[in-house]
Amino acid sequence: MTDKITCPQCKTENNFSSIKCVNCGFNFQINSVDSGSEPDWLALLRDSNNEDQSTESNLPDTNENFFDLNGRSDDEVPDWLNRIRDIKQFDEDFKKIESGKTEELHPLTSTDNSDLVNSLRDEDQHLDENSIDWIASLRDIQKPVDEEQLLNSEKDDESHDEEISNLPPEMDEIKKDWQIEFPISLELENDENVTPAEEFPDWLSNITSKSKNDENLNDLEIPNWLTPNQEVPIDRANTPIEPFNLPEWLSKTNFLVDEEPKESSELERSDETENLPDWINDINQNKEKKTLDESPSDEESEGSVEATFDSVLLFNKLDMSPESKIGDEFKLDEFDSELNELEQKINALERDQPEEPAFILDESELKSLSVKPFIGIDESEDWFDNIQLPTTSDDLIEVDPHHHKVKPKIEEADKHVLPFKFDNVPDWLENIDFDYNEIEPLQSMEEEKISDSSDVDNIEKGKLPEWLKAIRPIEVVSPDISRLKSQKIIEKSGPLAGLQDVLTSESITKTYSPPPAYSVTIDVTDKQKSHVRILEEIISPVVQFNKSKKKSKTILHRMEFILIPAFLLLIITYSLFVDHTNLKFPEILPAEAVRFHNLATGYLNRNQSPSHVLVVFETEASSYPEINLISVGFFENLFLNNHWVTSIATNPNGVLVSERILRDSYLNVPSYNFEERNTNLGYLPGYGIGIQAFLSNPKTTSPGIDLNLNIWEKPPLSEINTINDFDMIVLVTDNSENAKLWIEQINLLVPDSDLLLISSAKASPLLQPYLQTNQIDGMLSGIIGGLAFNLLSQSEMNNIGRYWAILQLGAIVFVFYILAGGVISIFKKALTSDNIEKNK
Amino acid sequence: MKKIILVIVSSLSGLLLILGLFFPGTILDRIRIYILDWAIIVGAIALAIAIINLLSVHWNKVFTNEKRDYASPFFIVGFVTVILIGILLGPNNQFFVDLTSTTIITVEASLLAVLALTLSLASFRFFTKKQNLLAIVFGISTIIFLLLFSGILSLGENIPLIKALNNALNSLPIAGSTGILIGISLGAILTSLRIFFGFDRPYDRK
Repeated sequence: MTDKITCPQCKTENNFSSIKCVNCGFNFQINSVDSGSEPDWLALLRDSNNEDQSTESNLPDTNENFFDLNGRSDDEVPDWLNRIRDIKQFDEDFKKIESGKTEELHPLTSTDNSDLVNSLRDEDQHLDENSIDWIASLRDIQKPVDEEQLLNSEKDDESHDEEISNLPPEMDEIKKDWQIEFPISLELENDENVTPAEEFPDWLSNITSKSKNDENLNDLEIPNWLTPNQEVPIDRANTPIEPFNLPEWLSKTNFLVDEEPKESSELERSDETENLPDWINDINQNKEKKTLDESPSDEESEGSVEATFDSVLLFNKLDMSPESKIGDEFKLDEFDSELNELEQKINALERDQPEEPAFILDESELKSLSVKPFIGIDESEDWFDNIQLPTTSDDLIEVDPHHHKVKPKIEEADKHVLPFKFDNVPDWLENIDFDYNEIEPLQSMEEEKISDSSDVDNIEKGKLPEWLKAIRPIEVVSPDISRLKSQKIIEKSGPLAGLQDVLTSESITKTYSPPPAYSVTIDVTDKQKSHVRILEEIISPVVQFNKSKKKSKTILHRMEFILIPAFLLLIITYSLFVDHTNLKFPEILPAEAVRFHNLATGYLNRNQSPSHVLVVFETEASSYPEINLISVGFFENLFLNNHWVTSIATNPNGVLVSERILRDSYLNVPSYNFEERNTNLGYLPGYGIGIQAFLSNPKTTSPGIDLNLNIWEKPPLSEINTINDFDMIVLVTDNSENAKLWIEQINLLVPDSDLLLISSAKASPLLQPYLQTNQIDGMLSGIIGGLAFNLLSQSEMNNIGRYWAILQLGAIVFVFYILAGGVISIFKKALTSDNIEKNK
Repeated sequence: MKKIILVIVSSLSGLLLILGLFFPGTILDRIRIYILDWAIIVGAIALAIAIINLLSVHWNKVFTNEKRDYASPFFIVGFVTVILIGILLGPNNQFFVDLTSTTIITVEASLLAVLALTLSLASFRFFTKKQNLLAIVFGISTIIFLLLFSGILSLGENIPLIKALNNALNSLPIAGSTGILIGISLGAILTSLRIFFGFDRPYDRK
């Protein structure tokens, strides 16, 4: 062992004088520097941890954290944790006594521990004779624990104060060794790769000076683990920790952590902050901030053994001054009482627990057990969180964040170089204003910086790696214009030299250049132009000419408005007084008129007794002249043959028209007993429904005009029970729509009755189809129909002949007007076109 | 709910009327007659309501400051006079018949005469307003049928060409009117079915 040196990387043995590893080329100088900056036992502890890493990989969180707890708490762990360790040690010793199988259960750990102890023995011999004493005490740790030691544990605890008092001479030796070793590490940090180490010498010198000044005080505050009787730390650092090995006291440590440390830690913290130098407080504050910012996950901390070593290194470097723990004395009383309680609980649990330890069983078997192996601890992996509850912010800083923060930095940069030591952020990240000074050094800024960073100037600036410079944001490199503008400029030359905020004599306009001229030309094709033209026509508002100005009516316009109707009236009036005896009538009469005449005269007159004729008046009063002219011959014929005439109207005015027409006819046939043989049923409401009801049951539907008289009980209508009792139905109409209702209902309900139709010229065209389909037996339409009936019946033709002539004359006049209007319009256009051409 | 009841009533009424027509002499025919009597009564009442509404409109025009119409007093006076004479003398009274018929026939005949004068002026301006193809066709057809219905063309029926032309021209209105009547009939059937099945509710129009 003395001639060989084991490579920490590949574990091959090399000569002690070799600089690099034969197998992997590992530089032992760096390693030796690292090892030289720390105690040898800690370097060996690294190796042991590396070896144990494989075995502990199943439980990364707990092992690592616990390793940190053990390894790094050498100088920082508070007394409560030391007490926990003592309790654990007692518990383990007690279990060993109980089971006597400790060595069998943990053969690997025992062998590792023995190797480690052997290595410690060997190396310690070469290093320093002063360290032999306390390493010899470490050897004692590896000895199997006897029952006597367990029994004497209480006595040891009671004599804790005495041990502390015995510490100073030994601790002085250790500290001297460390002070000798730390300058070596600082020298190594001045290496090229170790850039951040450049910052350490100043404060490290302060540390050494302060530590020398505070030596007497710190001697009393040396942690317990540095005492020769304190065997727990090394033992725990070497022994792999398994959750199944954890005894019950860990569950009680929860209580300790939850309850006591909060109180004790506050006291300790207050004491520590009072005793610690300012630079450590600053570091602790930075740690607190960073721990709050960085919430390291448990997964990130897996297997970072190297990082933990680095953190331990840094921890030893930075926190080498022992914490002052003034309140230890009165805490020991509490500790004794808690220890007694724990012993009582241990005895109670021993009675309750089975004789065989629970951790021998498999996990499945453990799950099936009714009694859990660890009382008060969850079987999940969160058990360590319970142990490591954040008692104080200092604990958080000291335990977790160290190796979490160091590891990624090491991975990014050189593995042998720590680019960012501990929590010290480089200056280039904190003070970006240095870059501004490089660009435009301003006096005011310099003054501010001088005042603000007087302390910072003492620290030498770090050199940024090229890759880091490359990834700097542009805002860092480029000057902040807004900030530059706000800065006050002092005039340096001229009569106003030395004055501040003087208006600059420089013409600002000189700084401006004329705006660039851009050519605005659009290439538009002809097709696009046509589209634009169309779009413009669509979008452009319609030009509305002012039409409010009335055109001045010409004399001709006024004349036609008066002359045309006047001319028509003149013609018609003249025709009334013209003799029409020589008027030529048509030789060929309409067929429907002939059929009408035949039915009205021959059919009705076939019987000797008078027939019952139903006359339906569906006419307006305005049609009275025409209807009267057409039907007067027919009604005279009826009156001459003394037929029974019953009239009804589905038009309110039809009653009056029927009364007038019948009375006019009666005037021509005075022999006819009009009052007796003529019955007026009046107005039939309901149009189609009324017509259907009347045709279905005439008696109940139409009681007659005179409500006092029951006309259906008197002679002409007493013989009528249904509509079929009428010999003939004559429809007199000037409205084709209402006539259609009558025709359709009569053909539906009274198909056997004869239906004759007297219509005006206006209604006859739409009734022609019913005539063609024989739904109407005969029809007299217009004046020509009345003329035809009169011609056939050889009745008086003067009156109707006159109107026939007027009708023809009026038709010719209308044709003349139409043609005259067309000709005049043509001439007007021709004249206007000629005038336009002339004007052109 | 109200609409459903109305649809049911109208559809049931139409169904009973149709069934009464197809089964004459049965109870359905009697039901049909009763329904028709109710419809006639309702129609008569509707006429009375229309008369009262007309009187109220003119009454408001006379006795309110807004929309005052000087013709309304004449209407009210004429209405009251006629109704009083008719109630007092009876509808068959000759004085009452002559009074009403003379007034109505004279007025309406004069209106028709004014229409004739207006049409004469329109016929003169017909081609001055429009000179397109449709206007020419319409003008020519108007001229032909004026001559046809006036009987002027019938004077030349002895001429073979004119007789054939006269017969051909007389058949044109028959063809046109037949088409119009068929269209009206189809529309009436469709409207009846829509009302029968409740798709069209003329009784529910607001």
